[in-house]
Amino acid sequence: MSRDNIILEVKHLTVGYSQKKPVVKDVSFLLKKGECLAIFGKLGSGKTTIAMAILGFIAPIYGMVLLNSINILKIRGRKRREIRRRIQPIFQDPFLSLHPMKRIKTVLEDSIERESGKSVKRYLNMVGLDASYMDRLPSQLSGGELQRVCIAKALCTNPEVLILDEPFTAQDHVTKVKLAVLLRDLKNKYNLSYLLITHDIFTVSFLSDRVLLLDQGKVTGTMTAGEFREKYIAEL
Amino acid sequence: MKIRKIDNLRFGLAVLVLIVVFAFVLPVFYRVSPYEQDLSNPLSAPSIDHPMGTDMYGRDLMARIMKGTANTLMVSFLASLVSLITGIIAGVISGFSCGIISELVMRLADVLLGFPKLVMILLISGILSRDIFASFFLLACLSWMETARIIRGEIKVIKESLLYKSLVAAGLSFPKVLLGYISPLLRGKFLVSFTLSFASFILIEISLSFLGLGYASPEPSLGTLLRQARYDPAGSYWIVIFTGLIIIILVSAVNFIADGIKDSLEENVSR
Repeated sequence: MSRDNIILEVKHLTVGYSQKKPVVKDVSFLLKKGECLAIFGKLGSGKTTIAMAILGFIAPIYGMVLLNSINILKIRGRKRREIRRRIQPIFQDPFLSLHPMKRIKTVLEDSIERESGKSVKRYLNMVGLDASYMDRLPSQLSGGELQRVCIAKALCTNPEVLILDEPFTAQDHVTKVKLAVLLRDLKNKYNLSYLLITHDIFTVSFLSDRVLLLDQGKVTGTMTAGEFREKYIAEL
Repeated sequence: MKIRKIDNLRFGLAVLVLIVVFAFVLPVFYRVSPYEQDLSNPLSAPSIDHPMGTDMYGRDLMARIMKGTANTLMVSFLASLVSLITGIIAGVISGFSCGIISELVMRLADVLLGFPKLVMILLISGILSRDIFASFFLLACLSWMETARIIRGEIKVIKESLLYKSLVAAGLSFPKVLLGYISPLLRGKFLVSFTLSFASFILIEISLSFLGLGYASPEPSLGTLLRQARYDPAGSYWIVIFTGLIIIILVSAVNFIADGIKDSLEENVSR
């Protein structure tokens, strides 16, 4: 595998609240440019903990997170803020991810890089929303629309990696499919890389290219999306 | 249910506005000096010339109550503002810092809370005798603990929220996150904290002046007027009644406002 193509590398990541009982144990994986890597596991297997460690919200006990070969866990200050913008999270509950008193326009404007010269309208269009949403408050939007706004907000920072943490759990089935199609199209169009964290078989089989199986904080196997479909869809 | 709760706030605000008008606007039209003595007319009962009567030096009681209410309101308002600002600063420092700084601020709050407030008030007033503004400024600087605890608790909760995580991930600067996103969420808490300490400082001012540690004569305040009433003969009921009425109405109005804000905040959360 060519190393030029690797955008995110996680090496021996061990995370937990005590050294004796880590929640995530020695997890390593690579994420290539334009790839969707799914971390699939049961509830409580440590999937979200990995995401939080990559995003810098939990300090790992041991390990490295390399973005374009730079260990982002070692960077401090202003540079860290800039690096952070390259990895954006999409959480499962979009309503809790947006400020209840801020209009969509303000939320997106605050995330856009000033020098990019791009407009809020452009990002809303990218996720299938029109300019009429700009002056609305989160309470005036449906769950699916809110998740689209969260995706637009993440895109505003011009990210290289999107961490999708159970992105469709709070959605109904129709919305789930529509959002999955949107994310797949965005990935193909803008060559984005996704780290998909989920326990949902549909989401994994629809979006991912490779799957990392996680159980009790340990990687128990990897497989291609085809192998995953064969194994799990057949089981269903 | 909702109407009753909002009524608390509206009623309190309406009464407070009336008191503010009475203390700051009415003196512009009621041109009687609160300091001018008329020794030929001491302790006269309410009449057309003196609607609330006169005190033992013949000074017009209504003018003195207006001036006294204004003085009490002013010093209590400034003290609550200083207390709120110091509380917010301490709460933000403690809420956002980890480990030793956060603990240090909270342990200092515990020590100050453990110190009897009355002793602290008397000590400060004794040291800075007769300088009411300096006394209240120092007192306000030492009354940040409750506000700081509330703000710290709220910030700790917000820091764990998805909203905060997505703001930090978007690379927003700390001042932007704090002033643009967190403070609007805490506005209600600030208001409740401010109104409760406002009511408390009004009572402190009245108590200190009543004990002779507040405003110095001839400057009136609600506390000094009440104190003066103690030395007046038993027949001059009007001094105690009018001053006492203003105190009860003022403190009740501020408490109604605090209750109203608290209720409407709870209603927003449950919604």
